[in-house]
Amino acid sequence: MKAMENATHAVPPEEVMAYLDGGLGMEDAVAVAAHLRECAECAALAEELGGVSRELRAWTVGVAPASLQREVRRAVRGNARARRRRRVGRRVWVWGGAIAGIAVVAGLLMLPTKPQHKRLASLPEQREMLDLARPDESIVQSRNAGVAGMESDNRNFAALSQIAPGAAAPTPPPTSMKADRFRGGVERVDTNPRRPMIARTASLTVLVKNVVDARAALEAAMTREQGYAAQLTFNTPDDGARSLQASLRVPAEQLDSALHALRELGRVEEESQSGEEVTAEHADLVARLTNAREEEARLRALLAQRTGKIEDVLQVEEEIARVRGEIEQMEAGQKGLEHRVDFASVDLKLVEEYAAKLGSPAEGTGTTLRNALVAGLRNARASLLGLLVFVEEYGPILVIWGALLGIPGWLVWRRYRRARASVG
Amino acid sequence: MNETDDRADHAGDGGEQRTDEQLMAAFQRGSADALQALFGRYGQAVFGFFRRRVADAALAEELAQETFLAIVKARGRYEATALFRSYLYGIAFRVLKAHRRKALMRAMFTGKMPERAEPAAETSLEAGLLAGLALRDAVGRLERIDREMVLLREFEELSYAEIAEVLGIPVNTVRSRLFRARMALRELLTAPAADVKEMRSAEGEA
Repeated sequence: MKAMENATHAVPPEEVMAYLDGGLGMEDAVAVAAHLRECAECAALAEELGGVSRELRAWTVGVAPASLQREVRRAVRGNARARRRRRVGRRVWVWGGAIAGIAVVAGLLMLPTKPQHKRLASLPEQREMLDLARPDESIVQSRNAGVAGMESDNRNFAALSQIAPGAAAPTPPPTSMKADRFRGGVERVDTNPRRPMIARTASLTVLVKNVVDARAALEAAMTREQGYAAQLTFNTPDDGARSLQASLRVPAEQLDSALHALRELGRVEEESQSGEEVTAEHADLVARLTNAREEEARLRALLAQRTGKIEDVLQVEEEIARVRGEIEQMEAGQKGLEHRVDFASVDLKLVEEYAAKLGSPAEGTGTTLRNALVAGLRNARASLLGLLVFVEEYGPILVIWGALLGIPGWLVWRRYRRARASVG
Repeated sequence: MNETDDRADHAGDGGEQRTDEQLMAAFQRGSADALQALFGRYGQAVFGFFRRRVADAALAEELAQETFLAIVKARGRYEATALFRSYLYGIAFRVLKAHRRKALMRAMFTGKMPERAEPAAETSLEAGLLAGLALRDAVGRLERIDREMVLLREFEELSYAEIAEVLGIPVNTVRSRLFRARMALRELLTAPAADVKEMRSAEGEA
C-alpha cells in the first residue's frame, strides 16, 4: 500500500478518496484537484481508487421481478393487515414470556429472604412469639439473664419486700396484682396468665469520641430514665483506647427510650436485645410459697393449741424454722424475678476512638526493617500456599465444570461461526 | 445524485418533478400514487441492495417487498426533515439485519446451513455474471462493516454522512474505514483467482 506511507503529503489519501466521491466542500475540492495535478503519487492513488469503483460497477444485478411491484401495490392498498396481525400476536407472546420470566426470577430471589425477615422482627413481635413458644427455643439465650436477679440493690429490695410491691416501680407492675391473687389461697396455679412476665436484656457497644463526656451524658440519661448502674468499670490503658463497661438497670417501660438515649452517645457498633419469659417460673414460685406459708401457719397453730412433750414441741419449732427459711429463700427468689421483669438490664460498652500518641516508644529502625522483612516473607509464603491450596481444593471442580460447560459452549460457538459465515 | 429540493415545484405537478420527500409527505397524507412513484424511483435500487447481499433472487425480492411494506406500515414515523434516501436504506438495512439474525438462528438450531451463494446457477444469463462472481467473492472477504460501507457507497451511492447514519457510526470512521476497505479490496481484486480459492477452502475447513 503505497499511499499509506506518504503521511507527509499536503493532502491525506482519505481526502483524495473523498474528492473522488464528491464528499468535499468547494474549497477542499479545489485544493485536492490542484494537488492531484502536481503529485504523481496521489494521482496514481486516485487512479487505483477509481479502478476499484469501475471494477465494482461490473457487478450488475438483474431487473427486479414484476411480482415485486404487484406485491407492493397490493400492500399499499392495505392488504397487509393479515401480516400485521401475525406480527402483533408474536409481540404479545414475546412480552408475555418476558414478564413471566421476570416474575419467576423475582419470585426465586424473594424466597430465601423470608426467614431472615422474621429473624429481624421487632421487639413487639418477639413478645408475641414469646407468648407462643418456650423461652429456650425462641430467642438467643441472654448471657446475663441469671446475673440480673442476683445483683443486690437495697433500695429496690426494700420496696419489693413490702406486702404491696407496686410502690417500688414508677408504674405499678402487673406482677403485684398476680401475687395478690395467688396469695388468696389458690392451690393450683394458673399457668396461663393474661400478661407474660418477660425479663428483658439488651447489650450495646458504642464508639464515642470521649469516654469522660460520654459518661456524664450516660449518667444524665440514667437519672432521666430512672435507671441506675449496677456496676461500672472504667478502663484507661496506656497504649490503647479508653473504655467504659457498665451494667445498667432501667425500668422495663423505659427501656426503649433509654436505649435511644444510649445510641445517641456515639456510633453504635453492636446492638442486641433479648427477652426471657419467666411467667411459669414465677407462678411456680408463688404457689410453692403459698403452700409453705400455709404449712407454717399450721405448725404455729399446732404449737399454740397443743401442749405435749418437750421433744415434740422442739421438733415442731425446728420444723417451723425450716419452713421459715424456705419461705425467706423463696421470697428472695420471687423478688429477684420480679425485679428482673420490672427492670431491664442493659450491658453497655463505650469505647473511645483510639488515637495513637506520638510519644509512644518505637523500636529501632533496624528492628523495624527486619520485622517487616520477616512479615513480608511470611506473607509471600502464605499467599503462595493459599494459591496452591486453592488449586488443590477447587482445581478438580473447575476442570469438571470447564468440561461440562466448555465443550458444549465450544460446539455452539463453532456452530455459530459456521452459521454466520454461511449467512454472510 | 441527490434530488434537488426545488421548492418552486407545486404539489399538483407530475410526480416526476416532485422530490422524494414531497412524495413521502403526500403518501403520509394518504396518496397511494405517491408511494407508487417512490417505488418507481427506488424499487430497482432496493432490489439491487438485497440482490448483492443475499444468496438468491427470490429472497432478495421478498426482502425488498418487506422493506416497502415497512415503509407503508411505519409511514407515521417518517419526519420530513430526514432525507428519504437515508430513511429508505436505513429501513432496508434493518430488514437485512433482521433477516440475517433469523437465518443465523435457523442455522444454529436446525443445524441446516443455507448453501453459500452460487449465483452462477440461477443467473447464468445475466451479463454481469462472471465479473459479479469474482467481485462478490472479493467483497465477501472484507470485514462485514467494511463490506457494507463499500456497497453502500458504490452501489447505493450514499454520501459519507448517509452511510454513517445508516450504519450508526461516526462520519470520520466511515471515511477512514472506507479508505482502508477500498485499498484492501484493490489487493483482493488483483490477487490471482486460484489464490483466493485456496484461501477460501482453507477458511471453510477452519
